[in-house]
Amino acid sequence: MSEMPLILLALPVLTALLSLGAKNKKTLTQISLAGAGITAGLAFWIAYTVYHFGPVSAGGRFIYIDSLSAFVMSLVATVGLTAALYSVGYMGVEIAENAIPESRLKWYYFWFYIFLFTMFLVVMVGNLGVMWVGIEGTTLASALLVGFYDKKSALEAAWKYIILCTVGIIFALFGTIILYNAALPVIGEGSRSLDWFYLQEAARGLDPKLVKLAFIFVLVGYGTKVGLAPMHTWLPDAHSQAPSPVSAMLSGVLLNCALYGILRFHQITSHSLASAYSTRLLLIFGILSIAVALPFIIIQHDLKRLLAYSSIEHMGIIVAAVGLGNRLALYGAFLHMLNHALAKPFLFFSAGNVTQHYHTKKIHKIKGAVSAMPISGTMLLLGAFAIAGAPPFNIFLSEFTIISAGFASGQYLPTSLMLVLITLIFTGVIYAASRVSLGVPPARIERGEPSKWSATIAFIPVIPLFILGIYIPKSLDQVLQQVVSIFLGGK
Amino acid sequence: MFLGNSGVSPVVTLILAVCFLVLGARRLDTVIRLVVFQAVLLALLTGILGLANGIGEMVFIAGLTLVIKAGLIPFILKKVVDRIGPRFETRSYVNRKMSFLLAGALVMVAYLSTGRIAQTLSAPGREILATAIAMLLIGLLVMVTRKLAVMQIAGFLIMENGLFLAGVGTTHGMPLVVELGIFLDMLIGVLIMGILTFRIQSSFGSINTEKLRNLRG
Repeated sequence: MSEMPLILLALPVLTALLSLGAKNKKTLTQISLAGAGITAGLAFWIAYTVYHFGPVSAGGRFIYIDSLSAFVMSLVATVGLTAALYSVGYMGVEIAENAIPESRLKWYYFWFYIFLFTMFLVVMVGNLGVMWVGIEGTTLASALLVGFYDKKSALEAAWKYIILCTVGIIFALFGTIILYNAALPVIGEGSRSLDWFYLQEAARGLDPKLVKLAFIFVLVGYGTKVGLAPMHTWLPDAHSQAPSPVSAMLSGVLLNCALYGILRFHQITSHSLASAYSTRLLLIFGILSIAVALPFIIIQHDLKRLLAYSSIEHMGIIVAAVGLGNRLALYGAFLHMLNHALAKPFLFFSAGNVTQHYHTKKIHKIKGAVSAMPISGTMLLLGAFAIAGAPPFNIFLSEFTIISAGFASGQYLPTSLMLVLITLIFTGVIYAASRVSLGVPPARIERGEPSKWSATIAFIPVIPLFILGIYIPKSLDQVLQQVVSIFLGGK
Repeated sequence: MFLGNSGVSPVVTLILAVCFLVLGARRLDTVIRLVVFQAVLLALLTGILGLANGIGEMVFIAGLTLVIKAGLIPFILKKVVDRIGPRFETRSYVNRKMSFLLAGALVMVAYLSTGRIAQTLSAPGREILATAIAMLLIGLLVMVTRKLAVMQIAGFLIMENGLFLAGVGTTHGMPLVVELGIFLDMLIGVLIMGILTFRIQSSFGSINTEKLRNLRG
């Protein structure tokens, strides 16, 4: 058992290397599906072990997985697997239409699995320094995926992405160094002083001035990667220019991985200061992000950019919910993290099918997607309702939980602000989605689904969205309770 | 603990001076030489501190700095610059006088701000931290004001060198596994930025990032 986490890290790397050696498209697909399947299975098994038998560590203290890590790890595994499945159909169409030469497909899968590896690394390691290396690694691994189409717009997006995120993350490294400095006199030299587990235990002895400073730098640094306003400017470009399966991974889990980094620092900071310093900051940045997303969603002309701004909104909601700070709000925050990670890739898949079929991402040029593409079009419309937060979908449930937690704890001003913003964004998303989905499709558009496979993959994820909107299984409830308890400092 | 101000101070000052030379440089190949020079100085400083404190890990890190920051990374940059012609000038949104003035102000900001946070550090430690923050800010200035993609990579390198200096000067560097990871990230990062620069050059016909502004709203 003890070496299983190391095997989990090795699997995506192995899949990436095997992809480079593959001769043709068929072998590549087989390698990818096998790799993604086994990786996800192992990840779920490790997560199951954590929830039933307590934290898992491996390789000395290199890897340490508690309920919070296991939660985000399962999200990475889920979205990684579905994105790998969707890639088969999506990239198949791109190659058939000569948008991408077949010889470059192996590079796509290579970077795809290296990207997956870096995300697993971020959530599994116990050392904040190595976590930084992992988060920077996610940028590097996904930069060439963002620029994969090699068009001018894709290169521009990739360049902005790598430069802005690298600069942002340098500040996070500075924050990490400051925290290390604060920990040295308390914990002593060596990698223990960067281990979040020990830092949390020793938090009360740390110099509060240095801890505050460290948190600010980390919030700005990793916040750039989470897409918190005003550091979010790379996000709409990267999400809209990347191939749709990659957009799904960026939006569904990459943002959560960076957020996971902030949450670890937040835990240490709040234990150390015994004040609402970091909680307040999170609330402010969260609400600001929701507010900044609003105008861009209302006037948006590009379907994938719309989804990207919606990701900024939802990350803002999660961060603000953590900032509300009470138990129910945290429960809602993690539930929302799960719901967004399920809903957004689903939406990118159906939107990917539609934009691929219409050969444009412009909202005003796409019309009648439901009648042109019965499955993908319908899913796009349903997905838009889900992501906007309409009942009976899961996002409604978590947003409702967060809002009621805010009112219950008497934080009326921020909570009402959130409620108003979310409602306005709802109208923007639904308006855009109905323009795209309803009406009569232009004559040049063929009826039917170009890829049965892509249509199926776009259909399956809608099922959990419905189920989680109506009721939360007992096992999931227990998992979330465990995550919240760990987060609040219970063991 | 330290060799004393006499051993370390001149090297730290030189490292900061190199940042100003980068701001004043007119040609891309000069900038690459300055990148090498700064890396050599950093390695020297790390080596001195490592030997003075008897820490083998730091001497090892010094060697690694030479290989990666003074060797491989400039090599990659050189390849990129060769592709676009070594006489390429370093275009900027602000002129050189203004750059120097801004950088000078940033150094003052850095010294003033470290005075408030670093009371616990020794005198050379404080000087190193102030220099590190100044480099962080000057690196950012280079990235924001210079138009060419290669100059943005150089600005990023200055920023990272500043952090490295902060790590070496205030603690004895980060734990070895973290330092190794950071080196690996740096190397791969510059490699990927280099690849992107190549592609930008062949798609846009130049590496002027002023042309990268079509994605809006």
